[in-house]
Amino acid sequence: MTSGTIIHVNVIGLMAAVEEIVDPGVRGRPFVVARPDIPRAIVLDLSPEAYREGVRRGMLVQTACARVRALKVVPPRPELYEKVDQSLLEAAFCFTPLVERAGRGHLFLDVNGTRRLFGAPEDVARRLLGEIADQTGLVPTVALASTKTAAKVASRVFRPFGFAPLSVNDEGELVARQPVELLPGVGVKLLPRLISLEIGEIGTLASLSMDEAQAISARGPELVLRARCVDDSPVNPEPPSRRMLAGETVFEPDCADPDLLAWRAREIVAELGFRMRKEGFGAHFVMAKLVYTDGAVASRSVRAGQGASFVADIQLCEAAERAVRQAWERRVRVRKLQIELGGFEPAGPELDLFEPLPFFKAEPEIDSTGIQTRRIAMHMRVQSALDRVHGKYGQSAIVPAAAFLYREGSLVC
Amino acid sequence: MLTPLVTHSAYSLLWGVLTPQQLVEAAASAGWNALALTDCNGMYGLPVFLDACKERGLRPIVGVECTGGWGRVVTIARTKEGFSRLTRLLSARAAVLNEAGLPAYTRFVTLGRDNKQHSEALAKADTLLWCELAAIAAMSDPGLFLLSDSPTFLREVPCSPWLFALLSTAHASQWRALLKTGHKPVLSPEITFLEPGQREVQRLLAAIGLGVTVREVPDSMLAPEAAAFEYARAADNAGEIGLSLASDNSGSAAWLASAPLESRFCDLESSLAEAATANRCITEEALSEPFGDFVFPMWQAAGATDEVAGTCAPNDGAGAGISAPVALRRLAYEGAARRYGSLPPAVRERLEYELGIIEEKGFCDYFLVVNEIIKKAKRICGRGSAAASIVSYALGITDVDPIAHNLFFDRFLNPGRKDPPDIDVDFAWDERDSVLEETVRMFGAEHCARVANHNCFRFRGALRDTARAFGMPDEETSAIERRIEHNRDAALASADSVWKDIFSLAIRITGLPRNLGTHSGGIIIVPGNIADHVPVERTGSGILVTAWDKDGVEDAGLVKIDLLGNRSLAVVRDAIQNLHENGIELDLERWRPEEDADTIAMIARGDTMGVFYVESPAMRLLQKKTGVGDFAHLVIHSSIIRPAANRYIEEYIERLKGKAWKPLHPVLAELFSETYGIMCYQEDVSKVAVALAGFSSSDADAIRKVLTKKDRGHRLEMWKQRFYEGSAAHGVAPDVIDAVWDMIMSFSGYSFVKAHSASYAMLSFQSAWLRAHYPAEFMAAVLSNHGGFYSTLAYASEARRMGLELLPPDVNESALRCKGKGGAIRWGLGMIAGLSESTLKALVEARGGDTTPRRSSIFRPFVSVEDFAARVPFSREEAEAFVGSGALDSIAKGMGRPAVLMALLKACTARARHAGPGLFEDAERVSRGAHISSTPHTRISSEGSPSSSKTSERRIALSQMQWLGTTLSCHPLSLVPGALQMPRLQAAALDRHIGEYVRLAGWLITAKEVLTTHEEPMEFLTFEDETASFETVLFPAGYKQFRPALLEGGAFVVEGRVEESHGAITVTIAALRRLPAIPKLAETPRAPPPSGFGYASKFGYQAASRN
Repeated sequence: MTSGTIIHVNVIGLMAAVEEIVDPGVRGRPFVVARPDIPRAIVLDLSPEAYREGVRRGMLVQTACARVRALKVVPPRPELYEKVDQSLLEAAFCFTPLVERAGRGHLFLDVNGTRRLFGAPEDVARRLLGEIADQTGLVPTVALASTKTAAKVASRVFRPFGFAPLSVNDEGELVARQPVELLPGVGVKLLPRLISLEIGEIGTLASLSMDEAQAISARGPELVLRARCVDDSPVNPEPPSRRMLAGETVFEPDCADPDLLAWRAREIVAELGFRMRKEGFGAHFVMAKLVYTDGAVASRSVRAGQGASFVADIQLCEAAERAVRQAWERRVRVRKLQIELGGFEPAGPELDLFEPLPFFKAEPEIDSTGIQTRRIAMHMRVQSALDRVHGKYGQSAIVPAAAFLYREGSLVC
Repeated sequence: MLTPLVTHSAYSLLWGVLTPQQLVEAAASAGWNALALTDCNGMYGLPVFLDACKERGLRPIVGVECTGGWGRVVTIARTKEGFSRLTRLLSARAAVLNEAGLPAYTRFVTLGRDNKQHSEALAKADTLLWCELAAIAAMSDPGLFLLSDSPTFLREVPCSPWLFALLSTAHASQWRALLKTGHKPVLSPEITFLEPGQREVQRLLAAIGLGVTVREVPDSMLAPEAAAFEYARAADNAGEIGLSLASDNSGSAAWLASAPLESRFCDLESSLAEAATANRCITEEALSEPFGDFVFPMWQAAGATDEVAGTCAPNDGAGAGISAPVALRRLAYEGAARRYGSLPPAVRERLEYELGIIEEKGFCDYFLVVNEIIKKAKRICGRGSAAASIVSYALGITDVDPIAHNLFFDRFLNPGRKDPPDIDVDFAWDERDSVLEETVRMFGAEHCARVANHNCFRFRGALRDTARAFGMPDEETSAIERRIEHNRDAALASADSVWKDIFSLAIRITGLPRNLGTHSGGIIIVPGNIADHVPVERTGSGILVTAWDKDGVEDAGLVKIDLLGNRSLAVVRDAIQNLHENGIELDLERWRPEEDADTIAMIARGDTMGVFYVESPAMRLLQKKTGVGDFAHLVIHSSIIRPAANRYIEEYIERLKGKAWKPLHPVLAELFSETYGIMCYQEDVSKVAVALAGFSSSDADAIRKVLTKKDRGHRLEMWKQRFYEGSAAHGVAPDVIDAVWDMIMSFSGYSFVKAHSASYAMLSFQSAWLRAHYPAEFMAAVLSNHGGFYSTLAYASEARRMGLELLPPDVNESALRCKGKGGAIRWGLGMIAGLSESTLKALVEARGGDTTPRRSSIFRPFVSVEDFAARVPFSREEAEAFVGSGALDSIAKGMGRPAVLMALLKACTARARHAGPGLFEDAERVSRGAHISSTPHTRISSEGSPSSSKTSERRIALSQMQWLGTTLSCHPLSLVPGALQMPRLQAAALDRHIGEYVRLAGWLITAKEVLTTHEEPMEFLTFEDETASFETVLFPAGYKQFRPALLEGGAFVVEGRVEESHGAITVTIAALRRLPAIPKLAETPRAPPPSGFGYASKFGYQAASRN
């Protein structure tokens, strides 16, 4: 059997799966991973038994408990999950350097060219499965196909656990015969239309002509290509941190206070900015992504002008706050805030603490990021000093006085 | 004492927290004998405030706080001219804000949102206020006092006898600066809160008004803490002991607590004494009675000089240049001759009697104006007590002959009645708005305004608004609401701390006014400018309304005319039009539906779904139980069926069926003989009060009115005492008084006068006659007008039970509305969900322009799907609606629905491309699709070809549920998995199982929750299966158990005992279980593709074990 070389590793419900391994007592019982002592805490992850009872990820713990009387609430252990996630990655690196991190518990591997070292891709996938089981005790779904799309559909078919090495000849047929809702990109709006068209299987969608593809939706051609497993996107091994820097905070309880939201954005961006400057980069854009308490997501980016980038905290913070303000359009509490810095470019020479002439030009007064250049020049000198202190003693060594206003999400003075 | 000249009530909309009653109560308890109400930029609460002051014996002072970005000027009316100046000023400000889409009460624009138009409008409104107030200050006698603590305003505007520097107790830190402006000072307590904690309620209200979260409302938008009642009172006391007030320049309430007061204010003593004197002078001179005599609309004969603005000239009938009494007399006699053929003495006598009273009271113009308005509609129905008037009958305002049906004019008008008459007229619901618009056009926009509703927070709305201000998503709030509906106490107890705060605040704002809405049909027409009498503004929907609600305008003497919407008038109109299209003409002049035996028999059977006013389950059960359907009894039935009269209904049925009875008191024997000794009509309350307790006519009328008020509680106690004393004085036995009073109490809430019931019964008979003789046309009209009491699904089921065939919509055969002919109803295109008006209009245009197909000589039917797609523009979503509803089946020419849909979607895309692609976006999409060949890809799936597949009956029915809201050829229960297959009794066979315990499957079609005498909730539920509808009762114990399951409606298994009472059958529910919901199309089971482990093993794949 000739198979593809793309492996998709999918650990469904990583947190809950880890908890089952750590505490076998919860296995087979409905439980959720959530912070039990926080008002308006949400379900971070859940066991299959809880899922069958109608509990969903993101649901308020109180609602989940009302729905399932015997529901057990397990406190989250982020460090442990991070460790397990790292173990998955390490297990993957044993077989190929081409590993793409597609989210917690999700990996894509390209094992092309490793046959001499590790054998056929099917063997690699099988060994990877064993390796993960040995290292973490987890049994993920592992799918092997020739494209990322086919591998992803296959892992959706076989989840929560299983091994699906598809042969190149068969994978088209397997994908084609799956319900169309398994295809990434088919959502609640498009599905009824496809059903009205009696397109119930991915294969039927794949058989549409160009005209038909365009007719079903503006994104129809993309979907049809995906349905045909036409997917030339490579496995991208670059660590996410090289492509962008991201940080997030989960509000528990969720947040309806614009000041607190802005402050958390500043906190995140300060940390990311430090890491970015340490690498000698500036960011071309700052993106704020909000997850509302009802699960809806909104994001906005603020970009620096052409050829410019955000370097100093003052620039980054102002951009982040603007992005947050623009993204927070609904009058709904925010559960999670994520800030991303991206579009990295070299930031130029590092400033000396007491050197009066920075690399910034005196003119114009307002730079392309919309912030006064002279003010930034002054701030950069302080920034440089602060970065040194943070580098030596940690982020908490020096914080803005305003940080003392907030303790656990509430204004204290 | 210093009168509080600056106070804010909750009618400072979405800012104030106190009701006027609370303010007045607090002021009275503090010993003040006068009180001003100065709400921000509005007078919404004035009538309520005047009422409250009257009740507590306080002297009301009428004012407004005109607030802008530059500060504020508190205006106090001194004369009626000054008061009119204020109403005009508020109306002008409202117009500026309304133009930008802002409500008149707007004080701040939305925070953090860039809305230039709103900011500019508010700035313009601020400027307007400034300029007008400055001009007023410069007048020699504006009829107003102006009190300002705005340094800018006081600096810019020259000194005037009417302008004062306001030293408010809430802003003591400003006093010294204000005293330096050179204007005369006036000292006043200021009250916005009863206690400082109410500031958080104010913050919530402000957040609701601005559409932001509470954390986004800064303190600067709120009143200072020192605007609390206790500080105002303490300040007042301090003023009395020597005006020794302190100032710590902090502006906070803390200044008051700082002692000793004398030492802090000794330097201002003389100024403050002068300011206190000014307070007393203003209190004495202020206007306390702003309202005067009644203001009627004025009628003017054609040809007369239009000297008085706001008058109306008749377009026919009355002749030119004649007076209103002469015109009314002429029209009344002409109309009577038309109605009666000749004019017998009884008719002449009645006409003369009524015209005499109408003329004497000066109401001729009012009748003539109503007469002009009703000419604008095809069908109307006069309602209320006006139906007792032969003049109304002659003019065509009502259709019930008051002589034939024994209706007494005195309930409508009598020589002793002091309040104005009230003529209410119903119009077809879809014509009402155009009639109102035409009325405004006819009388002039500057003379007319619709009556407002003061929309107050109810608990559910308050909870939702509060939750939003706390950032709660609507879905979560809905879930909480459902829990509250099920068990409020448990829901509150289990709530988390944030929700507890939300509940607490929601309860505090419940009952406070929120915004202005539009009364269902009240319109005020005045001879002069409407803004001279009442502030006017536009609601969110652009309708000009008064600032006061119906009670307020009544207090102000503004006589309203009610023009209301009625669906059944449209049903009768459409059914008659449908008959006309089918070649059947009714002689409406000779139409006497109330004399038709078939109609009477049908009403007696309770076969009246769709029939006006007698279609509710309770009414149909009453009809079945009584077994009578004649006009006289229908009038009784439609009056007796009211919430508080249950036990009298049972007694009535028994007496009707022959039970011996004797009157409670000999005096009452004759009064209520036609209703079997039971008080039935609203006027019976007055009659019994006069006859038994010796009340005067006006007192008897007052007790009738009190019974209809929401806040009747304490007032009713007073009348009860008087009734008991009066009756006892007339020698009535205590047990008889108790029994009669109990019967009077059954009129609490709402009840009807006989004339109203008779007028409505006539409309009931018209619609019942149509149902009895032309069921297809009638039910088509009911469906088109979205019925009344039931859903489309229930009416469709009833039509099927009546033996009618329901035909699907068709782009060639359907009109926009449903149409009946013979034994079939063709579904209307306008009833397909998701089709926009513009698309429907384009469709009608494309096939010839007439909404009814094949009527026009240029009818151009669609010959194919391609033809349709080429001639009618539609969106992708509308394409789904056309196909899903079956509207294109007749032109599909063998194509399956999927193929038709694909053809439409392609046409849609082609049209969009033809219209011009986006510069980059579409080009990008096209390039993405370039990989796809123009010919279909090799098909691998197990599904059949879309073009060849024939849509199954089940899929068609599911599509109909989605797009039409009902199935057409089968009952919706047939789509519920297992519903019809389970062992059960069919509803049509219930009458053969009386006393037995049965199981039924039923679709819930309506539910009515009531309270038992022990205040426990229970519910009457109506279900239907494929054979019949059936009534059920869910008693309190069952209600507690099964209520949650009922919330989402749908199909149920109902178990219970079959009961029979007077021939009507009900099921007393013992058990209730919800059946699965009808699956959506996307959820319908499809041929399962090989997947999962099964498929894996076929290909030799293996499933890993977890261990």
